[in-house]
Amino acid sequence: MRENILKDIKKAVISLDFERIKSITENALKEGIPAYDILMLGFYEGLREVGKRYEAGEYFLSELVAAGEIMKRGNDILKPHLGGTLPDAVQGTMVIGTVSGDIHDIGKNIFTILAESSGFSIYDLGVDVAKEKFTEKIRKTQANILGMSALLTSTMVYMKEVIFLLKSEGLRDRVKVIVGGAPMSPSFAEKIEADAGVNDAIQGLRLCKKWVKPQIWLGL
Amino acid sequence: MSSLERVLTAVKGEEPDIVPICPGIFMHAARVSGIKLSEFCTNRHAFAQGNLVAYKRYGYDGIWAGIDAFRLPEVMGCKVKVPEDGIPFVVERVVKEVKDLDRVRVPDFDKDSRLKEELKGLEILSKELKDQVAIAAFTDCGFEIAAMLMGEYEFLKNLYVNPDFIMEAISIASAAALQHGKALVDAGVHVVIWGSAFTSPNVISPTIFEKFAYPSIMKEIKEMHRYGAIVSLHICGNATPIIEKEAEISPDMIEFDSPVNLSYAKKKVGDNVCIYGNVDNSRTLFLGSPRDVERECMECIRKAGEGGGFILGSGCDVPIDAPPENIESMINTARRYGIYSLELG
Repeated sequence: MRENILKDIKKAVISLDFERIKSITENALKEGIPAYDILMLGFYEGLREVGKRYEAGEYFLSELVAAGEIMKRGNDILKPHLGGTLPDAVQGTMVIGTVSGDIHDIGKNIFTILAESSGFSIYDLGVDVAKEKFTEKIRKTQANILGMSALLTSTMVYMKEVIFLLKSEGLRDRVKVIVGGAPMSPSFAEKIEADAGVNDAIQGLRLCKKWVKPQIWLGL
Repeated sequence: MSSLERVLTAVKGEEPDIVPICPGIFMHAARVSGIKLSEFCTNRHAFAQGNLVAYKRYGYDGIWAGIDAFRLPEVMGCKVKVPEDGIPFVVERVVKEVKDLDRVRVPDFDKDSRLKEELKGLEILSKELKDQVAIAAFTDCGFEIAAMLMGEYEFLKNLYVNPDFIMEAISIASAAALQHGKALVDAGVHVVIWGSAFTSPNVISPTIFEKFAYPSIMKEIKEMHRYGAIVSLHICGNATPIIEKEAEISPDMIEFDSPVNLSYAKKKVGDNVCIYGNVDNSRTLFLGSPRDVERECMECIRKAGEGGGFILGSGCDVPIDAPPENIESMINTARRYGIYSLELG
């Protein structure tokens, strides 16, 4: 019974079944399954499979967004029942934003939702973010990762200026810097002295996880 | 052959004298003519002037002319900011929830707007150059416009959460796209580009494409054909998984972005449709050298040039700050290595 219910939730996450997710999650609680188990063995198991399918080219951004949304729904239902049982798993705090002059935020939003689902604390500064805003937020939040996003080739060069400012304010050693967006590459990251450059949200998330020392990893 | 004849011959799937070259110049025209983007994107004369200067400097076969894609969502109710010398962007979406669909305005081309300025600018260009050089201008497909009206993230989310909402938004946006597309024809452009980044397999799955985008684009392009337009379908990113579906839609031309292998595209659909593309706009045109550009142009010609039905172009828009030498290199390479036959006598 219990196994079937959890399997059903996992399946609903994988098939992005928004019609059923609410009722089967509430039913699982009613059947006495601990919220923590529903989250870990139902939702996160499903999300992990979504990630695999994305990497295998079977799922696309549209499916990642939907999976993130379904995770949110699950969290909303389960949160009141979790109490303090969710481990403080991750010590990753991240400031993220699309750099000045650029307003493309789809990749950043997908990354944010997946990273949050995986336990990171994210401070999202939005789009068209000036360099001073990044450093100010890093100082305030004690973040250990900075994520910058750009789609336009004309704005990606601005990332270098942000890194320059980090250096001149003595913050560069305190944060790992990851740059993301369609035109990004490891060689571009190296050129502007970032720690990583990726053009894929899941790949980026994997790197960020390596940088922080977790007790347990959730999700993807 | 004039540049215009060259392009139109290729569009028909035939072999012109040389491979036509039409970089997606768009807002790069502002930079190379020294006009501020805020002027270029809001004033018909600046727009026309910028395009004329760029055309005279580079001498390509087709002017791919246009400002930012937000000019249509703007007249439909989105709020747009025009930076002094940057690309205009949306600051507020008109559709936040289902009931907002009633707030979406039907575009009014007589009312002052950046969209009207662009249309008038195209008229000026067309009057000046219509018989010499091909002029192409774009609108976006209904699917794309719907995404811009509600914000890309909300749009993607609702493909699964509330598909009926998306369907309704697309149908409203589709009508606007058609109105705009017809206005472009009336303004005198030769080719109407039917654009979309969001229908790309980099964003949505082919399944979603077939369910939401394919039927609406098919209907739109059919209607544009009835209106007498030559239509070029442009789907950004790696469209490889949907190449055949693109051809089924029956545009006159398909613009392929740089991730698509042109040999593959030529083999799959080259007999039925003119192929445009696909020099990498960021890696090569923006960050590369004129030599890199030359190499890649030759590669494109080699892969898709045979037998005609091919226009050499950029994968997507030429970056605003691309070095002009790189664009010159595109034109020079096409002229030097794109010769189909030597006309004797």
